[in-house]
Amino acid sequence: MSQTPASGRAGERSTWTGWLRAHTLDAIPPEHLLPDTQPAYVASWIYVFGVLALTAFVVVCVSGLVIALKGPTWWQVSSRGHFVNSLHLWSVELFFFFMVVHLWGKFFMAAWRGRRALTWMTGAVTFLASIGTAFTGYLVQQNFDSQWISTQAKDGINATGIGAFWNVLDFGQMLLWHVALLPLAVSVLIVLHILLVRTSGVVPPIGVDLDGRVEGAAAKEAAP
Amino acid sequence: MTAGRVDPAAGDWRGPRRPYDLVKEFIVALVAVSLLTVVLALLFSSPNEKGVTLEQWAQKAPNDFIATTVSELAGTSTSASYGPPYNHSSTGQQIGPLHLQKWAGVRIPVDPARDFVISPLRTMTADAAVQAAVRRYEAAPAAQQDQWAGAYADALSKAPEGDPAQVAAGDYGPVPAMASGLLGLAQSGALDSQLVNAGTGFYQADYTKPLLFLADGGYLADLAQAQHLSGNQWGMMNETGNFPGQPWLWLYTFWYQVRPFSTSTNADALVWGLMMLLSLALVLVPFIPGVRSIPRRLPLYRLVWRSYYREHGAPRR
Amino acid sequence: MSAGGDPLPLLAALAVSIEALVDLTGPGHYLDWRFIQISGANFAVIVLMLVVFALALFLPFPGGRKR
Repeated sequence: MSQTPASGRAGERSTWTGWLRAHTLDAIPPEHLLPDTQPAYVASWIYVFGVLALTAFVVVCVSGLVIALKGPTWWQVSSRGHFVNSLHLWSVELFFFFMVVHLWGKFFMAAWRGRRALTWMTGAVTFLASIGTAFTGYLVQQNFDSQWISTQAKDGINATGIGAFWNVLDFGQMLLWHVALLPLAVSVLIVLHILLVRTSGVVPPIGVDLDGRVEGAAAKEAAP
Repeated sequence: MTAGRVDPAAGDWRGPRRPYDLVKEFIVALVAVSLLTVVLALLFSSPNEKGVTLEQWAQKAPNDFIATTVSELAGTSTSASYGPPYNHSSTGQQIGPLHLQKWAGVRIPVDPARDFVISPLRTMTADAAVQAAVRRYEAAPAAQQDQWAGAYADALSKAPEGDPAQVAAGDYGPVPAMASGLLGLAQSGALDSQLVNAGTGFYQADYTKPLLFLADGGYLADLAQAQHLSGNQWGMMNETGNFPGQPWLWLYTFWYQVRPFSTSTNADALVWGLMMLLSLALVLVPFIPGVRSIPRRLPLYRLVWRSYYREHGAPRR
Repeated sequence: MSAGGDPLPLLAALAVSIEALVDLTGPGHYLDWRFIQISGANFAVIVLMLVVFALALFLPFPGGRKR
């Protein structure tokens, strides 16, 4: 605490609040959080799949909230409810679609380079948590799918011992996990993932240093 | 950063930049994805195959219902021989020396003979014959109960189409009367609500018991088989009708189709153990030698950054 | 239950009036190849993902203006 931070906001650190503000601004400077420029190499359609997955998740949440407003049986008895259920299903399919293409892209870019491993890890955990969230969604539809999927899945989950605490045949428990606990977990993971992306920046191309020079390339000037 | 090996990609980019508008990108993506969702929902709707009731099962497949009921009494049904977390009738599956299922314990107690058959029959107080059958069954020693139920189960399996009306004569005690009593109860629709575990006595949210009973029969599985939803049909990925299901479960589903998993009695434990390991590997890709080097060996990254490499020179292979 | 009280009243009404334009509720179509069985719909989704991934790599990205 005796060291002067790079941002020169040491004077604000006499209170806890000032300390928190200074540390937050040091960790996530606003120009990193909401950038209006990108490194020149961020120029490929593969970069749009992160934001597409994010916005699909927003649509998943909004359509899910509408279903939550009306309660779990609404979509079974109302054609409007069934339409909102369709929105929920297709936004989930889009969410996974974009997330998987995003994952492939980041893998082939080796996007974990430059101390960005935690970004990859939070993304991978988000993918796994999303699978769990979608799975519980199937369990709370109150239809044939729910009956079949829950009675099949119980054997796998029981075999790990988890089934003794997390009962896929208990509609009430699964409904609360699906509408509260798991979406909260996925949301927190996504926020962490995006904050990590924004603070460390988009990974440079393979074989390019931070000044933009390409290793071993014929001497071309890299500066703008 | 002062360590011997400096990661060349760690730190702030000091090279050329291009204009970018994060907020605009987000809004455009949100509008595009919302519209795409609406179009897909309007075009394709969503699946909703109605659930099966015990009443429907008892009416459409009475012979299967009777056989299942008898197997609950005989202790041979899936639930009755399940083990943890429902009962102690087996130790469950294991992953090598790890008996995770057994160690987790019996935390959702289910006694199929009592919960699915005897207790519901006791509520039929107006039916003297059924009450007499239940009293006779309960008064008998356990060995006698097992013998009655086992003999009747055998006889049913040998009867044409499992039809109780065509069962050979034998000493089945009160078991046939109990089974037909439960069939009548289910056909009336009363069993559906009776099996739900009413933790508060009135409100219902836990369907463990009716689902276990339903899954013990062949009726639900036959319907699933017809919809390509069985485990050996890659069913976990599939959805009813022509809707996409959960294609992201392809790898999990795949293991169940191949040896040793497809023939193992521990398939669930082994597949889940393997998938947990592989999921951990996915999370830890940046640290796994070999795997983390694949992107450098494949030229896909040269496509992603081709305009940068074209302007500034391409790195060596 | 008045229409104004429901969320998305216009779209929902539209959806109700046209139902699904493409009926996916019929018997499922499945592809069989040795031990591999996959539904036509899942296969389409996976192929579409690969196509979109390839397009994202190959299609030129507009606006290479630097500063």
